[in-house]
Amino acid sequence: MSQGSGAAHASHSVTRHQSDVIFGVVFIVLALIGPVLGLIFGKSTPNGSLITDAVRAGWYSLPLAIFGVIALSVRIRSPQDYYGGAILSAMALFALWACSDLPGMRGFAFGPGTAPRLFAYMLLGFGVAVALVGLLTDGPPSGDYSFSGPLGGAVLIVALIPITYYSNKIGRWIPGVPPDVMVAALGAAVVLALAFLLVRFAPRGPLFITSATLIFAITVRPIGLVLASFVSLMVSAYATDEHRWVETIIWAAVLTLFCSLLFPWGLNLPLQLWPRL
Amino acid sequence: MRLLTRLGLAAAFALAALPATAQDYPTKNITLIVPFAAGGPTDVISRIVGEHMSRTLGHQLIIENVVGAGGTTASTRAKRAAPDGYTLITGHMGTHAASVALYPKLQYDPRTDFEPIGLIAGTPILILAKKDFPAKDLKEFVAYVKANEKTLNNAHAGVGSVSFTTCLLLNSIMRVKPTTIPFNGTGPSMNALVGGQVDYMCDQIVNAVPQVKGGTIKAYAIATAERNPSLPDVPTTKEAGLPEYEASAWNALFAPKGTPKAALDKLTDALGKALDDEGVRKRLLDLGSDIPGANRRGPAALGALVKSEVDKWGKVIKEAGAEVN
Amino acid sequence: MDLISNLAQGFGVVFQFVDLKIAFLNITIPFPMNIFLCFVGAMVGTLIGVLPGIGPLATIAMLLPITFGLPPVGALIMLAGIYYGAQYGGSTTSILINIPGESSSVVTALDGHQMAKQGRAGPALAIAAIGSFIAGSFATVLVAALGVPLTAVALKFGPAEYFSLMVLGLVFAVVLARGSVLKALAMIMMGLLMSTVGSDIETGQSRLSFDIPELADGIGFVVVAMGVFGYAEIMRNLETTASREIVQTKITGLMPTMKDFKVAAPAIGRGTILGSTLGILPGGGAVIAAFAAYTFEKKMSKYPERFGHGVIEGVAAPESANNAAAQTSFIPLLTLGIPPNAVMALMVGAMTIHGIVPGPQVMTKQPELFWGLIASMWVGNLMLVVINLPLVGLWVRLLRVPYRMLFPAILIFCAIGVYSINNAPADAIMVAAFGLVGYWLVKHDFEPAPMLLGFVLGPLMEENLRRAMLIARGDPSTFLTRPISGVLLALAMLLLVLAFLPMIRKKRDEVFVEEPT
Repeated sequence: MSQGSGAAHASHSVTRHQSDVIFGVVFIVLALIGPVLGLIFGKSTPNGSLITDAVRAGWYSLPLAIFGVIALSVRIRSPQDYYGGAILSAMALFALWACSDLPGMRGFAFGPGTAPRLFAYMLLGFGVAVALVGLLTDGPPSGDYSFSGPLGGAVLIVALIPITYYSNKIGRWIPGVPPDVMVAALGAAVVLALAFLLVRFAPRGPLFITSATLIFAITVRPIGLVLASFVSLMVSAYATDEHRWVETIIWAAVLTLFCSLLFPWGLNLPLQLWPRL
Repeated sequence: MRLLTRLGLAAAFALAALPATAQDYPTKNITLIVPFAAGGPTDVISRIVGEHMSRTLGHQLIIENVVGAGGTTASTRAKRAAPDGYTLITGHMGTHAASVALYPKLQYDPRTDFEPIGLIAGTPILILAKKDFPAKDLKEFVAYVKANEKTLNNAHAGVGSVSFTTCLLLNSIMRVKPTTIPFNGTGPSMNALVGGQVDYMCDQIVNAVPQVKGGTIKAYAIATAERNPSLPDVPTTKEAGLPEYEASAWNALFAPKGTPKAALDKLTDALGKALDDEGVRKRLLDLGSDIPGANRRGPAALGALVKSEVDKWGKVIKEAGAEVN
Repeated sequence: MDLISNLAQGFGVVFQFVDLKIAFLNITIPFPMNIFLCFVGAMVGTLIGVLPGIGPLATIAMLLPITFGLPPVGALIMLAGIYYGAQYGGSTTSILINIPGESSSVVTALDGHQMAKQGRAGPALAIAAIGSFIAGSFATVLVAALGVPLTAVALKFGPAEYFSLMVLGLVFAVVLARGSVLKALAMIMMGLLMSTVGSDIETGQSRLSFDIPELADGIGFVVVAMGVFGYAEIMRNLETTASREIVQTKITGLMPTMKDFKVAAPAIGRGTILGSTLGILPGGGAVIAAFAAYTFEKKMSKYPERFGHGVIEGVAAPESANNAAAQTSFIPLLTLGIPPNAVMALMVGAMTIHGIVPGPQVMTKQPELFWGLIASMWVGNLMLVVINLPLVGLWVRLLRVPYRMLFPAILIFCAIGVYSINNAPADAIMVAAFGLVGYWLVKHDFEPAPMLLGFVLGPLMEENLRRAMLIARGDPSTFLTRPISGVLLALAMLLLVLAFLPMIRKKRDEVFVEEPT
């Protein structure tokens, strides 16, 4: 069994066999909890019951089990292609589920659902084809962190969902603090905490670049451009473990100053610089 | 440690926002949200009037274009904005009247979620057709459309646009259901009309004047009570035989509900002054827009207009079954 | 000849001197106002083109109030300068940091950034500037001489023709790809699928947007391009040591060599012609022009497998094409008064505010405006070269900054830039998400360029397909019976077949697997 190629951070690499197993299990789990996810994220159709909605979502997620089972049982010759194709197929199935309630063609008029379904089916076809190629021809293993990178970042983004959903309640936790500042502070804190937690399993680059951008996004309106930029610049320094503190602070300050002059003043953009007081 | 610093910063900003004292309004620049792309009729009218109002109020009226969903995204944002008088919106017949019936999931009600400030200008609607449309005048046009409804194409600038809703009205008056061809905005739809790929369209005068004058398209009638000085040869629908068709895309200024009265009064006053200014009037009239007289200005008149328009277009849209979900 | 005298009149307008009173010195000096405004426009345009995120649309809208005090011709000259300045600036970021500023600069990033990584950023930037100038000059003459007849041709393009053109464009995207055709096709499909998110053009119904309001109008191009190209590139670069610079090899000179010029010259010529013709078509013309030019070069080349790894024709051709298209896109505006895209619509608005009503009669009733604008287009192109060639040295030096200091700067510019488009934090979040997507794509050896092209062409293709079907009452043969459409589809088929010929497939297989990073 060949070792997954190690990079500068060798402690993160898994063996090829291990990654196959992980992949297989994940896909089978996804296939089974598809109906559950569908119920959570789907909108309730006016004339469907809970059971039929779940069945509908399951219809689309069950095929993923096939990918998982194959990964567990057969030796995959080109994981890069196989995983790539499998995930593309998953995307296609997800899209198919998402547009399953859109009307199709009426007479000669294309309905809203026709084009998305068409594209989704074709993507499914190509995804399966790529996965097949990955099964039957030799190829390289998928690059390092090809899962942990995007997954880590995705966790950060997903973590913000409940915060925005309950933003009204969170805003009122500490009386006296403006609600949007409260939500922004909590959101930033959560994202950062998660990023530091996940850095053991996922590469720093995607994790902290995503964190920096997310933190910028949630803080730029409540606390203004200057502070949001500075904070997010500081966070982005963690994306590489070669940062030096003094240099980072100075550079972040310089960049913040430059941006604060360039965008609102130089380009006449209506951006709010400081917190709304 | 990071968390503490962050929470500390957040707590440091725990100053409750003081409401702006209305007496000194405005003390800083005002944002005017325009629900459509820059360069379009609503945007142009807003800029012309906004520039003059900036001078009266002493602070800049900054235009922010927020496009999307037929103008409803911008209106929703305006509804949720802080009602301190520093966010305004230029609504129009689509966003603040037709939208109620068109979008069942609409997140605002133009009758109750906004404070009307005043009507800005109206852009009358024209009935337009491609250059070689086989009809000499409006009566022949109606007859031809009725006879050939299966083969004719009616262009519009997208669901929720002025050209969409006004042609719904026209078609329902003529009792025809032609094939409607959607486009992404007035530019492409006008282009198709000039190129002869579609047969007819209802659109605002602002976009149509240069084409009609240049002879690239035909205008059969204007849907207002009087002829318009920029196109004096185009008869009104009343003169030409279709008096039931009256449509004008009015544009008006709104503020979020709860804006202090003192601010609203100042804005109404500034708007009125802008509409009386020679320079502004000339530019608006050159565009073919129709400037409201004293009896149509002001919050009361606007509020009444919104109510009646919501009802009028609501009926049209429901009859045509054109709701969007 | 009429043309010469008209052009002379135009140049007269551009070079006219205005008596400017300098109050505190109490003198009046003759001041070349219009040239000055042209220069300001080009400068500002280049600046915002270079900054990722904000585009000419937002800038022109922001600067519109400033133009109120200016005479109409001057105001228009300045705004036009911003437009093609931004076009050029977008190419700069494509080459330097792999972030396409506009959809038409996506193709420039393919070879341009590779050249930058090989220490040849200077020649890449320079040939982009020079190619753009040559193309722009030619296109300006075209606008002046053939404006009206070209408009008539453009008007013949109905929905069916557009659809076939888009199909041809997608086939280009397949040929463009440097790796596996199967994966390229999958990417195109992914791009097409992503482009359907938003509201349906016909019924207004929301598709694939999960009731998220920010997705109600679809995913923005800038968001996807910045994420999939720019952010992913940064994430990848950070996996190697960040003390290095972007450029690994020695920088070999700032200007293109004689050999470069010889190779690039025919590419510039072909790109110019393609760009000039396709730019007239309202909406989408410029994008297709850029990658039609690239694909054409690749097919004509003796070494197609080197495309995508840093060949100078791969920069020269699309750059010339998109600048030519930027100039000829003024044609429908000037002759018909119909804006072909959002930026032009803004220009119409600007004209209207200044009391000029654009339309078929502008050419005859206000010739000094028409010809003055045309003359200023040439002058503007000249200014772009004058401004940008010296800057090449500056940009190249920028690439020598240690990456750990460069990438936060890129990040914050991107974040602010994308936020400022709509004042929407959700946009920044989406960029982060697409960054992850792009990262994943690269890890699995999928190419982002075909996906982006599918994403850009998707809506155009779908809308026009539906419109054409509506107009033809459901008769699909309309695509083949209408002459222009039939020709385009035939070309597309031909190209597709050529792409699959065994001869070419063998060559592809030779360079199939790239080292995954």
